[in-house]
Amino acid sequence: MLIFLLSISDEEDRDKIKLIFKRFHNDMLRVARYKLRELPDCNSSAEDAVENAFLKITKYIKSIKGEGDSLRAYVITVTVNECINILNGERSPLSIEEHFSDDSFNEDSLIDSLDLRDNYENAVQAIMLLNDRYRIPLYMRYVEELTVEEISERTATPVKTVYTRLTRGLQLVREYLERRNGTK
Amino acid sequence: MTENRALLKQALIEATVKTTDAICTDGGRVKYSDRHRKRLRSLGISTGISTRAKILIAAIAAALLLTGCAIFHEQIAGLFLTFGNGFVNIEGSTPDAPKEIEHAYVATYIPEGFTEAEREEEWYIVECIWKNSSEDFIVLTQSLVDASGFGADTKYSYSMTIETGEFTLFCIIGSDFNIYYWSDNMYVFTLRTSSHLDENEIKNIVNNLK
Repeated sequence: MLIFLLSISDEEDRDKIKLIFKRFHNDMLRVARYKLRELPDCNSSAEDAVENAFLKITKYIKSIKGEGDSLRAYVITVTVNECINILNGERSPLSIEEHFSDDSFNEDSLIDSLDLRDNYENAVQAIMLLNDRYRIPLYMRYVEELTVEEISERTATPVKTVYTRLTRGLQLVREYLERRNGTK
Repeated sequence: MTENRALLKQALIEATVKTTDAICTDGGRVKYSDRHRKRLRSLGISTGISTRAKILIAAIAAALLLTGCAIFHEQIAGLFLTFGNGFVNIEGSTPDAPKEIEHAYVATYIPEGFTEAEREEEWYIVECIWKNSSEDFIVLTQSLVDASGFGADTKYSYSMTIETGEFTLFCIIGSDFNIYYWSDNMYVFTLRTSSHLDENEIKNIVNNLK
């Protein structure tokens, strides 16, 4: 692991990692402690999650674009994903619905069905209410613009489950908007 | 990208930031364990030491272990020194030192003829370089205790200590340059100079950091 990190020879990449550490280390720890608060060894598990998140960030440093809020959101998403990986070691990683794969993932029509121009604030609320298991794949797909296969690799989740979570995540956002608009 | 996709992207970022803000209501520094600090440091994240120096130190340490050479430690005024056959590793040893440079020291005395050539300030390190017309140099570095870890080759040099009145300096005296290390128990400082700089000049620089 150390050899891998030492192999980062690009000065710009190292500076980016240092910047991320400086700006977000405290937030990463706070979020990880919050997400893992029910574990008996919450603090040390949170530190593990943050260390793993730094490893992932380092691994994918070249593909990290964005700055400001976008960079912060990315770093926190990676951290939360690592918290989920730790929680998955503690409990069953899949809910019942996720045992049923959804082969009819029609991304464009699902996104088009969200009237985001007139419902933007509600959509933000809906996403905030989403379980991390849905929010993280959505973030990776529509912010980081990763393929489903790449999300599968980064979240250590089967491809079919990623499809299910993307579909279910978008459906949940749509249902929330419909309820707010009184159309459901 | 369709408008809905662009808005979805924006909403995902905003939702993540708002959720994080809701969790991170306390803006202060988060305490964490020594284990976490050490592990991050071993990952090269919080350390100011260069990759090349790390590889060198690791290689020297490995070689020493393989050849069965003795390694011993010594503590001098806030510095933890590890001596091996032909090398010394210098680290700060203050447990509760700041995790971020809160005050960047400025040298108020620099020998005549030297002018500032470069200054770099980062959260973990401040480095300033002065040069004169004869290509002599002075490099002053202020590092976090956590980020300190300097390896020096002692095969072609010798080490000694100097008392400045305020600090004890650990010095590596080489043929082309000298390096002085000290700590004020908040930060670790190094001063690298061309070898012919007078000892009193060094003391003046060190005692006049503000």
